[in-house]
Amino acid sequence: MIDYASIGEAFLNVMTPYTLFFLFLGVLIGIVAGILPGINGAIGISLILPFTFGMEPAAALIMMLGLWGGQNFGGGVTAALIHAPGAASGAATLFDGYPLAQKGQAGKALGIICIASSIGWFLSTILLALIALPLAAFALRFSAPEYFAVGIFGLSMVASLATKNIFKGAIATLFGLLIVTIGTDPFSGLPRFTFGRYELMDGINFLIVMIGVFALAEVLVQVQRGGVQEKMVSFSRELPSWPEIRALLPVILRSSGIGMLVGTAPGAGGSIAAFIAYSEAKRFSRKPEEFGHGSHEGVAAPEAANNATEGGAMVPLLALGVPGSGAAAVILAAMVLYGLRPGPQIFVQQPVLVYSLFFGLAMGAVVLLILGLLLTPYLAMVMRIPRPYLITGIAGVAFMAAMAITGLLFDVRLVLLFGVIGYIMRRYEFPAAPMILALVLGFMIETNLRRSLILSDGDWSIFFTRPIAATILGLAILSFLFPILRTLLSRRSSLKG
Amino acid sequence: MNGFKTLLAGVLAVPLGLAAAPADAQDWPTRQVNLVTHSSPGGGGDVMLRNLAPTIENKFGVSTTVDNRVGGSGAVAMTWMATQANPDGYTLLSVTPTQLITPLRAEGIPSYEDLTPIARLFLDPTTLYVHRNSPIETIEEFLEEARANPRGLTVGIGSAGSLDQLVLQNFMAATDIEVRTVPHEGGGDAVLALLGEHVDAVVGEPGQALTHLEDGTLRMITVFQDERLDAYPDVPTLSEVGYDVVSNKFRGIFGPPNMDPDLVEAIAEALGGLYQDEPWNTYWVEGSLNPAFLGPDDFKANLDVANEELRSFIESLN
Repeated sequence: MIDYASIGEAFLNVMTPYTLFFLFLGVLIGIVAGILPGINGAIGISLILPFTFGMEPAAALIMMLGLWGGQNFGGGVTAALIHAPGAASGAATLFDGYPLAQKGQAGKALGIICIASSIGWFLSTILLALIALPLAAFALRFSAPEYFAVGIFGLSMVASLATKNIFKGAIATLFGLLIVTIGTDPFSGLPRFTFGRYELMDGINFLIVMIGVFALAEVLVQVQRGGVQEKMVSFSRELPSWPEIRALLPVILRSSGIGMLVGTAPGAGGSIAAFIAYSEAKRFSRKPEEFGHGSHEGVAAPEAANNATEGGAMVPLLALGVPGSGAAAVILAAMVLYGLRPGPQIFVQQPVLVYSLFFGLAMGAVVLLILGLLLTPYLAMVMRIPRPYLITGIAGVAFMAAMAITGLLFDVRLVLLFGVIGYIMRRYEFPAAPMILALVLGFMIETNLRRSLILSDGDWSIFFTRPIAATILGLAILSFLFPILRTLLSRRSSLKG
Repeated sequence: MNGFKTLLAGVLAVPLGLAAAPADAQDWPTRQVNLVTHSSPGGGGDVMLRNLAPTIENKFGVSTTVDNRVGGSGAVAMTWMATQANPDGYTLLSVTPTQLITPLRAEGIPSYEDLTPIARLFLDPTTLYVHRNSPIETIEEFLEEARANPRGLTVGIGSAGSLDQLVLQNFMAATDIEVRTVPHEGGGDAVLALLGEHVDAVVGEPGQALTHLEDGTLRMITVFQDERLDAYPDVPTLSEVGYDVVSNKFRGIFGPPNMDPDLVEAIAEALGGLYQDEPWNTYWVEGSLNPAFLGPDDFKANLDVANEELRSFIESLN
């Protein structure tokens, strides 16, 4: 049954200097694209697409896959170093990556990001190779009620993200959900809450909100702190030690699985996977109190998960010909340009190509590990820049990023607005993370709720009579109550003690 | 009525077109062509231009760029074309019915009347398909089931307020049936819902479900256009079963306002001569597009008719 000849041929195809060179180049471009704010995987891949026309399709596609994976790593790097994710998938890395780097351990933060990314990427590739077809069949059983349930499950993590004050967390969540309603009503196609501005018709890009609320708000906080004479935080380029890495393996394994599964669901993508993995890591951690203050697990979990979504996203792309994300859409377009037709038959008709992609992906993870660890000491030197220069630079990057995402001056003003909102939230201790989570999930929740009710003709029982949806919703309720119960229980026991 | 208007517009357009035919035909292109789309990388308009670009390069030996001006459901690109682009014929915008629908949805956005329609290149066929496991084998059986069970069938579409929804509405009105319309976040998602048998049928382009239609997982049961599709000769058009619903999902090219009519003719002619060149040819054959060339005046007349129909559709959504 297993086609050893094709597997062997594919392996030899990938292990040529020609293919490896382009893979290396792809990962490197990807890292740079991830670090540059506003350049995401989809844009990066479409920028190199014209240069690949003369290449072998397998090598060209492997280069694009390398770029995609490298970009996930790069997004995490800027999240940790300057409090602004260079790509949406790096959003959750910021919560612990930034504090860790601020503690002077930039080398460790980047090292963990690199290692977790590589392992997540590698594992998801293996899973992809083993179970792509059955997984695609399972993903087809997901309909609107199931996606709604996944969204609610994701939202239940608010309870663990907002540790200090659950009510402020709830308010921030609602604020995020309100922002999502700006744009176009997905079920009538008419504009809503756009205040007559056509720039708002596609809604507010959540990267714009993130850059404002995190990067620009951070700049405002730092400016207020003053102390121009202040010595820069000492920093170490030291990489994480082997025992430290070994301790992270369970969390990386679990997060890779989460990333792979979430990646399989079209439309979910790297940022949702990273958030879910982060919250699960916190839930299972022996030291949940370290989260938010530079926990190693808090850095590893989202990075393993967001890179693992790539293997997951290849499932619907290859097996069904349906792209699950912008980057996947560009790769699909490239495949069609090369005369390839993704779909269940591609596994039978083009086995060498499919296996080449699997080997290329796996090798990409190895390349990222090597490149990432080599670059880490140099990237970490950002921390040596004196603070006044650094924060000025960050402010510049924040506005440039807004410009790069859409090219609209309107969005630059939006970043400024959200910077001020983020500053006020910091000032009055409203957590920003639940708001971002609501932004990421809100659209998925709304559309699938309304679609479910169309499918059931208004009958709410559709959420309880479908086993998968009901199970996920049950888990969501548990996951919402768990942190609250734990807080109550520990209070009670401490009272008794 | 609409048919008469088209005819009238066509009759009027022919002499105009002849009059505009240049005595000394302009040379186009002689330098870099900038192709603008409102699609993000990987979207429909983007993929089209990324196939058109190398075709122009190969044929005319000039360089090209593809410029994604994303945002506002096309409003950003339309506004930029209307206010900033140079009408020298080297900045062109790819258009679909989206460029008609968006200005109808909100105030203050330039419409097709503010730009220069240059050429219609293709029509995307709109079709109705069901899953292999569906008991519905033909369009007649679909209508029977829908009549026996009003609001019983669910039909997925790519997105709300799109041309697919207009076609579905017209289909329901013409055949006097009622089904539940299920909008998705794009044609690919609607196809996925059908593959998982979560909806009973999908109205959409064959291009978005190509492999599944070819291997028989999905079954096309009717085509909303005048003639059968070459790739699916066994699938009847809706008019063959007695109802006249034809979709007008065009793909074309606009230029900025105030272009020289001779130049517009020259560009239209150059674009109309590309159908057999590569990779353009592969692109439209693989995507099941119908070449449906219209020059500037015919295209404008066609847009006038389409715009009126879309206007009443958008008003019906409110």
